[in-house]
Amino acid sequence: MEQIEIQNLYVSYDQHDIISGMNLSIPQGKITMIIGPNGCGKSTLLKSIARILKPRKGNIYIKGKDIRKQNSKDMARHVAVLPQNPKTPDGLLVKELVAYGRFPHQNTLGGLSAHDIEVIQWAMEETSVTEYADRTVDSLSGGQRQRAWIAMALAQETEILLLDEPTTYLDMSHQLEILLLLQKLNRKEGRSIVIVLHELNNACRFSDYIIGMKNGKIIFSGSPKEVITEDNLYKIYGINAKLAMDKEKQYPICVEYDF
Amino acid sequence: MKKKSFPIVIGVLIFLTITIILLGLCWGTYKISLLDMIQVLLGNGTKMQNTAVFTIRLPRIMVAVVVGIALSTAGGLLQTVTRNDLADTGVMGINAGAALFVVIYIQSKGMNYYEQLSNLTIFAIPLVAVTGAALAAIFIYTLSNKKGVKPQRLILVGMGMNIGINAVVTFIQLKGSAGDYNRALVWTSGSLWGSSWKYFIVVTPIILLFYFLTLYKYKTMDIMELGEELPIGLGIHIEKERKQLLFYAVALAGAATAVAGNIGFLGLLAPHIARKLVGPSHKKYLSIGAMISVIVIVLADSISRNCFSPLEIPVGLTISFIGVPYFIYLMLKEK
Repeated sequence: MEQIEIQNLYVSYDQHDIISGMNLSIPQGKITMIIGPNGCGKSTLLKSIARILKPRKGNIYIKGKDIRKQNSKDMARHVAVLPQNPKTPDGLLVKELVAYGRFPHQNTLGGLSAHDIEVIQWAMEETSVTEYADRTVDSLSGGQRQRAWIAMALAQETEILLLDEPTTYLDMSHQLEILLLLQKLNRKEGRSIVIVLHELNNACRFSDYIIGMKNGKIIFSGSPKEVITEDNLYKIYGINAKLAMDKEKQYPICVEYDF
Repeated sequence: MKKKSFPIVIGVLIFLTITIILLGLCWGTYKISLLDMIQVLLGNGTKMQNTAVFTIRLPRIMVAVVVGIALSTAGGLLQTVTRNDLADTGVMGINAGAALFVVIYIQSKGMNYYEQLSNLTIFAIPLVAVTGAALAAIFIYTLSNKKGVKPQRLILVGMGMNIGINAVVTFIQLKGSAGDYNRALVWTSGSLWGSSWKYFIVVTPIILLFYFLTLYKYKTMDIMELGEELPIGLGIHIEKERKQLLFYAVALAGAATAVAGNIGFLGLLAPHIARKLVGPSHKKYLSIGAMISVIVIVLADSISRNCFSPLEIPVGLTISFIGVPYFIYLMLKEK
């Protein structure tokens, strides 16, 4: 069974369709990345899967179940989402933020169980924010803050992770760190990860399945080796790219591009 | 301001609360010294002293206490729902809605003063007040709801409602008791004049109930501060929770306004100071805010009663006199 199934999806904003008539299957246990130019609807797609946006028409199934019929807390135990530009309350500590990730697993009055604390520690270590645990989130740099948010999503301990541009504010080494971490989670634990990403080469290197969007439609989808071609890149970005393969001939790298 | 340790803060606040309550009991036209006061509370007072304390001052202070708890908690709730620190039930017209309904109700009974009301009427007042507060809240919510409620819109609409309803309340009061501006002022600026044990009995259960219900929801409130998108990912149904929290705020504000009129600003001041002391976690700041609110209102009420004797100024005004300069000081200190 496919992990996420999208049928005949229409999502609109202000009477205007951003996504129209989309059909898509996102595979289980793989890293899927959605790429495309600004405004193509990638965030809209992700938010619709995450139930942040309500579609005008169509159905979305996660693990075979219609997401509109699911209990919110139940969903949150299986799907974690990290939107772009999350808001930070003033004075919130990093460790408190990461602890929020345990909310779907807690009962209303309960404090943090031993397992909760374990997961929070683990999440902070994996994202290298343990040293900031007692600092406030708003006192961190952009990149550090991003990692703290990712730690929160990890602490949610879900099999599906939806991340909207999680590496945008990170420098090269932190980008690599996060993507390697996500790859590890996928390879070791079989988590399905869906990421909206801007950096093409990172997308090619780390994804098993790439979806290219433009104007709310899917232009291509498949493994990077298959679908990242100079032709397809022109189709979605309007640029002429020069591609080469990496050392092990596993994925394409864009070595230069121009209009 | 660096965060202070929680136990120290609680300790200091409990001390201050007890001190201020004792101050309020001792301070009055009929003077009772502190040592005498302790005797009175132990049951050894003279008839005059007992009357002053048990019939007049203590009930008034106890009403102030629960009103303080209610308004601070309602303020915290609104600040979370609107994600804006400037929201409270006074500013947003919810208190005003309650006051309006109570004023209409009292006048419909042909009376202008609480003291003339029958017991049944008095027991109905909090319900009337909560209804008024609820209708104001529904009105504000509906007007701000264009494809989902934006927190900023809620505040703006609320502010407009507050000004409008206050004007109507003043008008009704002046029409009903011509020239008796005092009475109108009570409702629009809040006053604890005439509080009795009856008032206390009638509103305390409501206030305590919703106070604890609010505390119970602390985690949800924490997460609602994360914006419009993330809480969904964590399993919270934002619209449903918003409505529920708004309802709690309405109940608290309604009960408080029923006995004390429209006391604005307290619900803004107390949570704000509390957050500065112990941080934004609802588990901590709600109770601290309640205590701070109690201290401020009891102190303000004592000042209102005594400083301009035999005149009494509405406690809402005194709170502004105390609160605003402090607030400005806090703002200036902010980086």
